Amino acid sequence: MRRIWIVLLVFAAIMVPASPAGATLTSQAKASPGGIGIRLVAVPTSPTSNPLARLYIIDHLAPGTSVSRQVEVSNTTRAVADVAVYAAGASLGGLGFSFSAGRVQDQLSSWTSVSRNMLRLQPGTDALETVTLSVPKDASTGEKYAVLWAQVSPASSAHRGLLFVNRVGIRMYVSIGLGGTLPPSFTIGRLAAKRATSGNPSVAVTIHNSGEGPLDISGSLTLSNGPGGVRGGPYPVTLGSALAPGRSELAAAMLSKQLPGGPWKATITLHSGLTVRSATATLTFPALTDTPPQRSSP
Amino acid sequence: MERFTTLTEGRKSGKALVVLGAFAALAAFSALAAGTSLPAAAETPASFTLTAGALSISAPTASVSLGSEVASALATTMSGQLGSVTVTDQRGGTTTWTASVISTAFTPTAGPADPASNVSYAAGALTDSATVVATAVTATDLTGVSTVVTGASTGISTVSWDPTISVIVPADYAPGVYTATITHSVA
Repeated sequence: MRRIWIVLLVFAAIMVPASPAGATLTSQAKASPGGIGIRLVAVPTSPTSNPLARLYIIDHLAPGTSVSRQVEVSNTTRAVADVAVYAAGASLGGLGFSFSAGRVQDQLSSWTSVSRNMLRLQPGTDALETVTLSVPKDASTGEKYAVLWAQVSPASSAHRGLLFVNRVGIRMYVSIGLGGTLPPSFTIGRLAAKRATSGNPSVAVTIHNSGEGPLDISGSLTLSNGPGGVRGGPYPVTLGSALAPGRSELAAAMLSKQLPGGPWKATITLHSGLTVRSATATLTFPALTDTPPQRSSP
Repeated sequence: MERFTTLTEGRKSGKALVVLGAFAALAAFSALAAGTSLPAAAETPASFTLTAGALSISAPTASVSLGSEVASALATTMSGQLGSVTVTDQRGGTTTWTASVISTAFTPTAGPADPASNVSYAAGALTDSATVVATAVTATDLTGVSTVVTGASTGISTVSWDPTISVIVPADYAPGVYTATITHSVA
């Protein structure tokens, strides 16, 4: 039987612009690229303010307060652009400032709203958006990160092949002060591969609550790069109950008996509210001690 | 009456009086009536304000094909170039940005999808202006948001690249058109 693998065959035959309306107009209009831009306008200036406040939405806010900024979204392409404007999560870690995938929210982004979620921009035009940050009264203190994005997506439906979503954003660094409590925080210990007396392999991990509030942890485990490239999961990870501050507890994911022994690349991702931690390790499950027929096979 | 008040104003500054004397009384009236702050304005250093420009991205919006091939009993790799991606930083001054990429799985109309962990992204050669130091990082697994290019700019700058996407096609995958969405994020 002859199987044909077709990935696609339109190599930019038509420049599909950001909006369906312009589709027929722009097939030749690809000379100067142009793009979608975003900038911060009407920045409140004070001599002592952070110089980065010119570039980013930077502020220090008390719980229960709100602040507004204006941003300008521009379309320098030759096509009409439908631009989605929204805030999404971000984090600051060992690899620097990193963006959440898609519209995944964090605390700061969930407090951020825009005057219009969708802008239709004619070629060469721009529009002002008002961004409002409303910090809830019970907000936890500390530094929060997010990104305000202007995003152009392909006109969904009919297109097949490799599609592109392009977005450009303004970073948000906001510290919340006065009142409130620290955000939840926890650490994940080393992943351990075990085999229960029932013969089922399991992955166990110690979770330590390093924050000041109780944790309500849930999450999942995925296995990849297994024998023959097999993947497994996600398997739910369960933890006894809410974990008190300063306490450690063992969490485990129970897996199927048929699972090959490994080695596997195991990744565990746990969250408590908006706090997410993950850990990765290469694991091999102990061999079954009883009868050999259950030996791992691909 | 009006005239009297303007002269009083003028006396506060020698400069203004000279101006008054040099011009005809007619002209002086209108100038001074509007210009009680004229001397002060003349001493103010000239200034103008440059507002920060935009950070922008120009990247393919057209769907792109990586080509087609016959389904195989062996794993294969398909790759293709996406077309030019340009980041323009008009914010001015010292700025930095990160461009990152994430992919969905390549999903056929039926059958198993080819996961994003099999998708890699190489920015290739960067074309940049003199005011920016840009660094490319190859991403071999686009399951998560992966940084592919970073820029540290000292002025208005642009960086362009023409990325290559490679997809590992596992053995014995079913024929069909496999579709994925790749998101470029710049901030």
